[in-house]
Amino acid sequence: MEPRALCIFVVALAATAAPALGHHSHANYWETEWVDLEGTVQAVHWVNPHTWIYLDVAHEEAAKSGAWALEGASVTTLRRDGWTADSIKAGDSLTVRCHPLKDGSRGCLMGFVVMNDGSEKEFD
Amino acid sequence: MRRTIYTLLAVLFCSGTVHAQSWSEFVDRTDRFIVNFPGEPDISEISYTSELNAQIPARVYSIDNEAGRYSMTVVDYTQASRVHEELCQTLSDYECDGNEVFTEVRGAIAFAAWNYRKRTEGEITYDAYAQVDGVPGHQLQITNPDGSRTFVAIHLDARRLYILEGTVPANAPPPGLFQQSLGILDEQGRRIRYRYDDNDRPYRIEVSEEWALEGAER
Repeated sequence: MEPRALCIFVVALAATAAPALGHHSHANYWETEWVDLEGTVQAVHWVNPHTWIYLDVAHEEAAKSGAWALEGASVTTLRRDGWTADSIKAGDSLTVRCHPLKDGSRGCLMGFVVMNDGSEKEFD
Repeated sequence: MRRTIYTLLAVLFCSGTVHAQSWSEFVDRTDRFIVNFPGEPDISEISYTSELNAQIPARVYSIDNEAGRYSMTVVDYTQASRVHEELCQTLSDYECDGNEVFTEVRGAIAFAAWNYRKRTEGEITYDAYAQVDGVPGHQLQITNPDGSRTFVAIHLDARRLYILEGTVPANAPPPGLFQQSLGILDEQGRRIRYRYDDNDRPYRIEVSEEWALEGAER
């Protein structure tokens, strides 16, 4: 590539590569804290702007036992990362790691899904 | 009719929503928003009592089913000038200083949040600024005396105030799915997203409209 063309390309790339701004603020989540949850999927809401997994969790802490709402990335982002609407289904056993809501209710910002081989895959 | 068509298209394009307990993207170009509802909402016209005690036209989109109670109230402050002009002309004891509309619009989010604080009998567990697509707003989260939870989001753009309120029964997953789903559209139905310069002045960036039917960057 010619130097001039390369320069134009780099400038154009820089102009269009502004950091992504989230659809909404995540201030209502503790983004520096993590919670590990294990349970059974109650429902998957494969919708934009965010996907949601409802997970039934039996936890030794009473406050953490019950149905959780796990906020995931958009449908578009998840598809790009290889997820499909059927990757996680109602009735599946699921382990996740996520950021809990500040208000103490059972909501969590994904986060990662722990796969069968023990590895983690982003759901964010 | 147009509203219904967009809802149907959203369901068709987002096949997952069909088997995900019927949550789907609801688009209204008249009030310029997109939001997730667990079904087709009922729509009613109301008068919203503003901070200066004016009756501002508003529409309520609501649904009440086994999943909970969800409502979106859109207060049309674009009518505030007309309403206040009428008040100034008809009420002899109504003091008009020309700042009524400015006060109403700039204070609309704070006033709506104050109303929740005043009337709740529950515990407010979260009460803070929030933004959606760069549109400023406020969130409140409330645990009610019966254990049910209410999540609220309030946003203002182009003199339209959007108040989302979702309440779910005790032990149900909190209603973030509704609270966090708002998108705001312009007069052409294109999704709005702002960023802010170094002086915190907003400027609009291009966002694909495909979110209304297909998806968008998070």
